Amino acid sequence: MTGILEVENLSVDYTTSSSTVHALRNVSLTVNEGEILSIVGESGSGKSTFALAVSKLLPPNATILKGGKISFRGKDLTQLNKPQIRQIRGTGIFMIFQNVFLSLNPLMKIKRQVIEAINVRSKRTSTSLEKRGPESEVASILKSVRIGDAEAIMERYPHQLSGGQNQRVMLAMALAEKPSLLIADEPTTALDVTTQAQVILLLKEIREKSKMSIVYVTHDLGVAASISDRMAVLYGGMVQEVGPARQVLSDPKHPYTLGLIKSIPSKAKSEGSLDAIKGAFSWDDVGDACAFAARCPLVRESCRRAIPALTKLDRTLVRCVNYGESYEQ
Amino acid sequence: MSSSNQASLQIEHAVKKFSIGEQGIFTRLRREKKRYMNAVDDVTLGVAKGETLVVLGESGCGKTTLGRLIVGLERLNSGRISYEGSELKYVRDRGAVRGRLQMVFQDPSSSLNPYLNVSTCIAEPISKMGFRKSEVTAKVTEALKLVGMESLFMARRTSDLSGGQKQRTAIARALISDPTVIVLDEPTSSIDVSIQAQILNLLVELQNLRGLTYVLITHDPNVARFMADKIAVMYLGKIVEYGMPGDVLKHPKHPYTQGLLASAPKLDGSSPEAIRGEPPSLINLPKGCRFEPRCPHAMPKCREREPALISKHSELVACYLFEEG
Amino acid sequence: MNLVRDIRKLASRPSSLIGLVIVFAFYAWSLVEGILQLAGSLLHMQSLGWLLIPYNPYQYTLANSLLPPSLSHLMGTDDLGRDIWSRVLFAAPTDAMVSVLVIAGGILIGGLVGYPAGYFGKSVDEVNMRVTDLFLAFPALILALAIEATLGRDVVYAIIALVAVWWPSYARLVRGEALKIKSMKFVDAALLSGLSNFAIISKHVVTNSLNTLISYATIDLGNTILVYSILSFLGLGVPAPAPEWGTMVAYGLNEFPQWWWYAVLPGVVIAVIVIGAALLGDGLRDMFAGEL
Repeated sequence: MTGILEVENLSVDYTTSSSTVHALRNVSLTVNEGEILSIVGESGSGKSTFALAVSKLLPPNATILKGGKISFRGKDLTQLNKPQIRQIRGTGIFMIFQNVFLSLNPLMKIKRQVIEAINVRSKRTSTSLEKRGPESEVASILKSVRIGDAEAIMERYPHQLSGGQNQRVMLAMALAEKPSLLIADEPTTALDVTTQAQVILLLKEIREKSKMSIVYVTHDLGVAASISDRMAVLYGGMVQEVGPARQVLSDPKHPYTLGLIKSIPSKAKSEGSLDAIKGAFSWDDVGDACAFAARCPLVRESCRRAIPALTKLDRTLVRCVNYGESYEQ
Repeated sequence: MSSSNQASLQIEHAVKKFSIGEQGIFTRLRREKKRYMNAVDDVTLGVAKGETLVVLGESGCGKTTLGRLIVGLERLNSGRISYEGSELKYVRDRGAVRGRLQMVFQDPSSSLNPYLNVSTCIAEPISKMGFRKSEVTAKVTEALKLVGMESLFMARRTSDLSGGQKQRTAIARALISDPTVIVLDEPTSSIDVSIQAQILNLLVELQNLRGLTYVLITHDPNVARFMADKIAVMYLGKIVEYGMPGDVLKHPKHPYTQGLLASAPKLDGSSPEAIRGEPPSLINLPKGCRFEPRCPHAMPKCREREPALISKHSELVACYLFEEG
Repeated sequence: MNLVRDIRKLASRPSSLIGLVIVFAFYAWSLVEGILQLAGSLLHMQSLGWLLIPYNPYQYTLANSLLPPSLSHLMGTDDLGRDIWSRVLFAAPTDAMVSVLVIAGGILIGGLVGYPAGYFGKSVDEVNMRVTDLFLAFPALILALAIEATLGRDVVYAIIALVAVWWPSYARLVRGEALKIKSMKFVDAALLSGLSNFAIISKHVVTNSLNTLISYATIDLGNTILVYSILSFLGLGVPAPAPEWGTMVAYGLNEFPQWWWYAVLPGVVIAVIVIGAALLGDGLRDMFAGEL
């Protein structure tokens, strides 16, 4: 079954005059139709680079290395030029970022931006705007993401709204555009727990209603747990474990995944100290061996021999020699 | 609440107001009435020596302002904060006691001057205390050791450090003046989860080693569960629930606490439950209970008068449901 | 402040490399030539001033008047037969000195007004910024002209006039930076450490505003040279027969357009330096932002 988004061997480098950073290496992931895939990682994992790459929003000093492919509905996005990229919004990919102003135009009223989203959808699906006129459609869309006082909000500008309201406006635009694929990069990190819960529930609702696929990038395991069907854990720019979310969380294979889960406090200090992963991520570890080796409690000699390849275990893929000694070329 | 003679830190009816809107010369001339919001609205709390009080709440609840009041970065409008019996004033007027209460801020990238080196940052609290250079260096080295960093970091620029290293530096800075009370404002929210556990372990270790008293501000119930000896839940400037972690986290009594804990995402994959309605603003407060508009158990009397903190079974809850139950 | 690393970063982009070369060449030359001129006047050996210059800038030969640019006279000669390129080179230190002094003065006064305004806010901010607005309200040139008209024609008065006109924008710039930096938590931490306001401003606020200040001031170097050239074009700079870029352009207009090189080429030199300073300033700004 081919997925709506297929990423094969994606590698991204950032270059400055003094250094080259391998932000992503040989990442291959598939998102199926109507599925929510979460990309979980910390700083240096490459998760944001992944979101930017798929959204075609990489900064100028980023290079996608040869051999990488990003296919949306069969079309290779890496081969598109600028005017064709502009079509992407029309082909049904929508992005939400943590930084609201990457998605919302600070100079346009909310109303206009939602109408724009509606127009994009109309053009794509060749349906005409509802008879009752754009404003009432905007109002009903805003209401469906539980924005109170939609009529007043419509007339405001993004900087006049709170972070939570802006996030919901973007969700409203996602609803309006009815994209087939939503890329969300840490959309709830800056929000309160209670607002975050609302956004998570809304996303799930939208997915149910319109079979939208979502790539949800986050550092928060709990958020990933409550929303995803499948989960991919990234470390040092590579996929370390990917599989059904339930399985990855209840039976984590990769030592990093296990360490992450154990880092979340689930007891009182009187019951002992937390099982922390030792050390910290360092770009020095990103090289020709397992990037996690320096911090891994199960490290062996063979970990430093070469980069382990992904091994299939049930419905999960793990990149760890403890599950099979095969290596990347 | 801890009784006064046990309490190392005592907060009594603390109120802090902030004015809303610009106050230029012209609005002052027109004598427009100033509008205020009470970020901290009549808070009374005590913290016993060596204890960790966790202040749990979301943004806008006043927890950060409360923390700043304790260390003196804000002035009280009314009420009293005292440390070991004597009243605490604004930070500039504290004299020697200033070094006794220190703060660790949320975002280490913003709490360390990126152009200074680690040693200068850590030494700042004692820079005005008349120590000789050699003494300062010795203290900085000791502080670095306490937070698990080698002295080779002393000459590094803070902007070259990782998030975890920065936070350790900030903790070292808070320790160097030998404080007894440390206010920690979301100390792990801006760093990676895997480092967060290290920092929390470090904080507990330091507390046991030096008998430190912590006031830990957070929105994360997991952090609260691990660190707290007592928890105070804040909403819109007031304490709505106070008690031991086992009670507050496992059997929350106030509807807001229940809603807050239910909306926190959990690892078992269950969907979070959202509290209905918008997060409130401090500007137009309702007459009665502040949570009433969003409360699933609201009763008519909730709209009339604000419930006071009711004490029962060593817990305090500001809710009429509690007094009946 | 790793200088070598920073220069490499600037050199990695063609535009900022060009800017760096132009600005460096201009100020390096001005420094050397300026020292020679100073030594020359102190030791009563004026000719030291044109030791490194093709021709004596004062030497006039009417027979050679208004010769077009050639290999022996790179920029041609003026109406008195003086080599224009030599005069341009000779006049360079004046403009270099003016630009540095005006910027320094602007930063000094602007800093004294702007940093407290941003840091303390409220009434200090209001008072300081109203004073700033007052100065900003005057068109720069007119204010400068008025000051010089009162004080007299000389480089020193031109510098004073320019500083009076220049400091407000620095006050604004620095106030904005102070406002931004004030909300950083390391300022709170410094308060908790008992530092005085003055110590906080100098240790924390100023240091964090340097990047912005340096990029802005670099671009501004070009602006000061331009405005000073306009002042001397209007007759308010160094009096004749001393060479001065703006004055040369003014005189050159008399011979325009037939003997165009007299007016145009010194103007080109001014333009090149202004552009160079702008390119370098842009490069610095991007470098500080981490983009290089």
